[in-house]
Amino acid sequence: MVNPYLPQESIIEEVIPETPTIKTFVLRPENGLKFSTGQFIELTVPGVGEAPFTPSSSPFQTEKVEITVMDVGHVTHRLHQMREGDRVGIRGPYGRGYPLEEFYNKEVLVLGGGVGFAPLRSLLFTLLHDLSKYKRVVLCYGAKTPADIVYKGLIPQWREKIEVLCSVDRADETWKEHEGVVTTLLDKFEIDIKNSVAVVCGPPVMMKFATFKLLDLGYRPEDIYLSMERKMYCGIGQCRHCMIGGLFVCKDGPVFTYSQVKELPDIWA
Amino acid sequence: MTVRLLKKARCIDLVDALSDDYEIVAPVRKKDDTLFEPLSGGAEMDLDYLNSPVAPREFLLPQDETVFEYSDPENGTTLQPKIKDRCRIILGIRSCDLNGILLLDSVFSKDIPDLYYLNRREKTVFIAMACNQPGNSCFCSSLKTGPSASEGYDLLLTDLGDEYLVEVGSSRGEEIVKIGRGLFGEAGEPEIKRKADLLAIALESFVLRVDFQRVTELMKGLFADGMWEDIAERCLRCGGCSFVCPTCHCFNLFDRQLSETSGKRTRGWDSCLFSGFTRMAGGINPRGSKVERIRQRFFCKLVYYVEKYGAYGCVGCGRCTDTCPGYIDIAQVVTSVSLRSKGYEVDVGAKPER
Repeated sequence: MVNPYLPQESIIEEVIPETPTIKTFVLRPENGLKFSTGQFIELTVPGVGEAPFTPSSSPFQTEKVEITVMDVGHVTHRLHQMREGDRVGIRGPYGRGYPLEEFYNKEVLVLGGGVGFAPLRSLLFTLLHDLSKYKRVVLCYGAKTPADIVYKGLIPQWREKIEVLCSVDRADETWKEHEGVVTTLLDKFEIDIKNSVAVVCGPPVMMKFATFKLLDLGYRPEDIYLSMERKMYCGIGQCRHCMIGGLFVCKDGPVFTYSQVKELPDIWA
Repeated sequence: MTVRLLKKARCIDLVDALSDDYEIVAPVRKKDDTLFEPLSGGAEMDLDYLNSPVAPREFLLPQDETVFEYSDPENGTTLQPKIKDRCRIILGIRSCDLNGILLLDSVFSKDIPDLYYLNRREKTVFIAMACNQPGNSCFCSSLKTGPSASEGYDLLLTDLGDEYLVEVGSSRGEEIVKIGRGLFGEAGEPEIKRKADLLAIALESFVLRVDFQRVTELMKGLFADGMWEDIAERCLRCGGCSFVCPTCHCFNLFDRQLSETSGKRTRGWDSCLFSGFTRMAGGINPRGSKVERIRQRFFCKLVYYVEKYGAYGCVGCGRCTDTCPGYIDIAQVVTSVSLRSKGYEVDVGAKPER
């Protein structure tokens, strides 16, 4: 029997600063990592502990895995101090990712906020890998200020292939695009809601208002996909920290449709 | 079913005969309490105990255990998983606690098996003890998890006065009988009948009877009920109920640095009543209030366990009630759910009378 608690050693190959508080870490696990987009891993920072992250890289790249991390807790803080060549541990992948077949031939609306863009970048890489399977892909991304936008280099490249709308809560003189919370972007274009799915990831308050806005627009609860986040230790449905009602975010999620969770307590945190 | 007799006076000889091959854990009197402890260093067992204030689950899921140690010499990290390798007998375990372990089996063997738990479980032999006299907080008969065990034991003892009736429940039980041959006498119909009579008396003498019928279904309709606020007011967030419980198993994984280049990961008990249980980095806490947490505890035991494992996460041992400084009583909660669902007012703010 395999011991699920043993991480595999991974070298930090590159550290990419995204914003003053967010970095992307390119990791090379000893034995590679196969995952489906939307699944998560447990990352060990030796001597500090473990924390769950959803890879922000393409699942078609298995020899390397990337995570985009905000410096916010004790594991992420130490990680932010680490450099190329340092060693971390990885175990996983865990949970259920995005059910891509459900998106085929549909208009896919991807809605991201702040560092919540991380799993969505992995999803976008996957969608772009075979764009013909999807009728249309629209990305709406919001951050607090222009300085808080992640993946700045990628956004122009994506604009050549899919529709991309960006907004910031507070603009400055350099900002040429929309100002306002990310949900206000949804008023700026038409979408065939009956043949559309929406995928949302961001801070809890953004997920909440984005979901309500999507429902107002006419999205059905089963067509709204949420990447839920909870404290997770084991990743395998035993430690019970990540429970929302009777569901385990680590096993039954982390991707849920709104219809799966709407009756459950405390979903927006 | 094979049955034997064991004279009470020969119990100690059986322990001696077994202690070469096994660590023997048994109830040991400690001042006012009887606790499960290894019988080493001359500790004297107390098989006449009512029940221990803490369930013996720590021998399968320790309060603190090393998951692995690591060192980071120049040639790379080495991980040393620590999986304990010791055969152990838990002697005198009550039926409620044995049923608690059967529930933990489902948790740790379904889906992704937990090697730490399963390895210990594989090496643990249960010599259980039927209860002839239930305690004031006991309600195992309401859940059919006692007072005598019907499954999960290797040997099952019933106190018949000067001797124990020994029922053999597994091939490992047969093995124990073989090791202790000469100590066991023959038993037959009269002794089995005696046990049945004693069991009938025990079943009659429960002070506490709790109607669990439909509680899962009824609770779902009472999620937003005010009764949870009243219960939460009495919770001191001490987590005592979780730590004494035979079925609670929430845990943390925790890293400790041992030196500049080495460290270990440990696993330790946690409680859903602690405010940090669900708090994420950055401070967001999905169950930030006490009422949300206490409700989670009862929904976990009476709703979510049933949905996932097909049984209540409660075996009726009554320990959480006995240990709670605020007198929160799971039996009273179940009864209140039934009353509230019929529209009656309940006073869960009052100490239950017993």
